Amino acid sequence: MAMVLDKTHRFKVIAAHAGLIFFLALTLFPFLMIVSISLRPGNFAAGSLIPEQISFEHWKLALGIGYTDASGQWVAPPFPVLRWLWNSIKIATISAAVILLLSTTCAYAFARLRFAGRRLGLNILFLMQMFPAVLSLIAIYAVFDAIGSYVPWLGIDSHGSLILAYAGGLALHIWTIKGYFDTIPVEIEEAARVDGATHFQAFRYVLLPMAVPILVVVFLLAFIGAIIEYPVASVLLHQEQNLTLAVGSKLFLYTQNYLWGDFAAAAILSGLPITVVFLLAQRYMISGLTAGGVKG
Amino acid sequence: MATLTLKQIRKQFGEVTTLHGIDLDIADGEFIVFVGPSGCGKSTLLRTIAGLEDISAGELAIDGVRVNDLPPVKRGIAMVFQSYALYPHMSVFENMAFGLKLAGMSKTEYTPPVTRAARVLQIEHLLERKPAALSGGQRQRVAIGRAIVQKPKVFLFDEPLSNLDAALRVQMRIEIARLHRELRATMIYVTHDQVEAMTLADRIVVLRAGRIEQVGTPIELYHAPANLFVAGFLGSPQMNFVTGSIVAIDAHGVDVALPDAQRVRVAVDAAGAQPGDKVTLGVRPEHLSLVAGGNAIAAAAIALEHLGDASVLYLQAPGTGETLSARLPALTRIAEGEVCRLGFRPEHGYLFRADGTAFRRLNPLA
Repeated sequence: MAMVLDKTHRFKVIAAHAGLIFFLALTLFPFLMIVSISLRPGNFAAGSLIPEQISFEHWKLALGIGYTDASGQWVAPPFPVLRWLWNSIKIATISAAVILLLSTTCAYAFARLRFAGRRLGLNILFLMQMFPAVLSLIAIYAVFDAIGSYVPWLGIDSHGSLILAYAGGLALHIWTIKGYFDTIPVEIEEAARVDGATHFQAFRYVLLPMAVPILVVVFLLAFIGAIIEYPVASVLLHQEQNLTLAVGSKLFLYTQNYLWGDFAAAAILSGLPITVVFLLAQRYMISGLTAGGVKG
Repeated sequence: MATLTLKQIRKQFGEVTTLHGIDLDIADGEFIVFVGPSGCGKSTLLRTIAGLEDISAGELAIDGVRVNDLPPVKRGIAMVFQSYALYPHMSVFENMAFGLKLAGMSKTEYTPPVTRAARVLQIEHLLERKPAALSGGQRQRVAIGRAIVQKPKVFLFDEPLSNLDAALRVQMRIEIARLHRELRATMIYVTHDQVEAMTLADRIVVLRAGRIEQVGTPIELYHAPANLFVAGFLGSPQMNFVTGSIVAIDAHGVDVALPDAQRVRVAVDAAGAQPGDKVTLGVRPEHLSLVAGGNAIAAAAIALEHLGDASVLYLQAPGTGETLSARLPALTRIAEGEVCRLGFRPEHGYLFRADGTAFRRLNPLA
């Protein structure tokens, strides 16, 4: 390095590193705490970060195995945690796929087609999304209760209802994808039209392949959103077998007895699908897909 | 292989009218160039022919068949875009084969025409590459190749060379001319570069503000422009204009008085004009010379540019603030402020009426 550096440069580097390490610790601390709680015998929220004694009792319960406690008694798993995890993954995958499908096609219409009320529709969608879902819980309940009396698999306590409810929240995703479509030069699709493509073929074979990174991001956001969502799921799902992990793990926290250890193990499990999906998605989130198509 | 007929083509975007009734007949195999300043509607006209913009009124026929309501591919056209508009996620081969694939051809069917087009354009060695790995000139070849494989009746070019550097532009210009000779297809080419227009065109269509100003061969437009606009648009440096009034008219030309009372003679047919009429004198810079005496304009020099093969002298037009230019032999030496007499032959002059239309020149090719 031949570049001449100021004497204060070294200090600045050290200060920046110290600051970064501090924030890293701040971010990681809650996660490490949960890991620690899940590995600690008994159900205590407080305690040292490094457990004095390692016990897998909470993990055995979470994974549906059961264990023999200190007094020699067999403790059976109280809840079907793995079943909840499966429910969560199923609902998140399907709803994210539905959201992706609908918001991509909607975004294409808003970005490329000219029709009356285009701008108005976009703004209304966005404004309606601003209204928190929590405040409309009662309405959501009533709506699905009514739907259920005609279409049972979309009624209360069905996964269909939850997927449908999640799929409704796509205004933000439409905006995200439309913003990306807007950055792709229209000429490329016009060239496809001249080559004989219909609107749909231009969308499918030309625009979509270029939009893969943003589609992956939207899928990921929708997937994570569905995994961690609590209020709507807690209202629509009732039977223990049907719950998602986010709702189910709350059952470990009775009013009289907070089973922090079991809860912690379940919480870490719910992070698992998110991590896996993220790792899978990462390699599609590459930049430069649209490079070279037009003169920059 | 196709003729095009445009009848009263109009294009409106909401309240704004960009094309005001375009009438044009294009012969089979003709190379037509649309030129005009930015916003004159030349690109819009091309896009309406392509089918990328619908036609608000009027009729467009290709080979006598009305195509107003047909999508681009059914019109038998192919287009090369200014920005190349390649598909960035496809290889060069896939880019060129895309249209044929959409038309339902199998790989064995579309491979020969694609490789043939690649050979013609000398891009065979690039077929596996993605557009991002190509230079600007190579990308433009791919865009042209994509048009060729479609075997269109009409090729449309929308300023295809304006993104290339000067040397490459000359080379591609020659190649497009060669392509036209070989394919013998009808081509319509939009540009704002008058050199491209002059060199490529069988006929040039000069557009201004959504109207056709003049249609003609490059030579016709250069020597017999219909009006001030066309005269000023073609030629570089631009034609010099000086306002004045007619002093005398005879069978061999007109005497014009310039604002500072200088008199010059122009060989035009001034039938219908009267002495005293306001006119505009036009002289091309290449027709002015420093030879003293005779038919000349005296003006003060402002600046001198040496181009190597020639020098361009800029002068203050007599009586007005306008700048004149004269293309003089190389290494001419003139001091700033020096008053020069710039002579020209009367048959080299142009004269325009107050409404901008040109008087007929008596000997335009002299």
